[in-house]
Amino acid sequence: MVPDEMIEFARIYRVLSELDPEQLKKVLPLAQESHYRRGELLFREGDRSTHLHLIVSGDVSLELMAGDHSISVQTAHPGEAIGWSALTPGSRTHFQARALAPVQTVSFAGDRLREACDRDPAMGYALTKQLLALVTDRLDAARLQLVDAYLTRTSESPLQPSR
Amino acid sequence: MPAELPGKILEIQVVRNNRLGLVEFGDTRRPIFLDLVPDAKVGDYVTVHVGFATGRISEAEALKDSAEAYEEPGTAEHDLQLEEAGPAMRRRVKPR
Repeated sequence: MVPDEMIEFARIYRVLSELDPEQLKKVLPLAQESHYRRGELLFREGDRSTHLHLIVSGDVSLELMAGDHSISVQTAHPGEAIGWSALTPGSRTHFQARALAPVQTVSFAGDRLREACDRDPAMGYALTKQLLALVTDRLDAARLQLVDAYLTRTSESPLQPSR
Repeated sequence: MPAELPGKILEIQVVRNNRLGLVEFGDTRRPIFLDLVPDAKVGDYVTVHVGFATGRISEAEALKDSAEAYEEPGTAEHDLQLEEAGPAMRRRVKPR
């Protein structure tokens, strides 16, 4: 196997990359592989947020419901985490997540992961740092997408953006 | 208990701070983290869960576990998921 494939694989598990072996032993029993068919929902908008998913393969569309149809807001790719609000007690999902292809994730029940982090705050901090980095990436991507949508709209409009 | 599948280490590389192995599961090869089995070397058999080797096992145990995988099919839904996920996952030892 060429090193690039190894590097790509390591990138997918970035959120676990700073855990030492003892911490990994605490976290891995909480993880399970989940598989979704193309078109299947990982979760619906407004559901109780229960699981953090690391996407191992396949793309996932994050969608907002508008009446009886959905609007795709962003696409999450392998290496990204979705459902990270599961780590916040009592939170609900802000989007619905739909598999655009057969999708494999490594998922963690948010309440169990939170309990493990409460018992080992150093581990919680290491996980939180990596999750925050993933969230930052997602926000950057969303910002670029907004700029793109804005420029597309203004180029179709007689009104031009002010400089 | 999480499902684990046995595999054989074909190659080991260090990527950043992680020790990764190329592990063979039947006719499929996947990269796997070896950080939890620091003594494992090329040719050893390991049990694997969600991309991480969790322990070393003997060749006899690995072959026995692989044989059981074929004799213990999962639910129809589970088998379909494995079918869609590709050959690597069809060699899972036990259904969830």
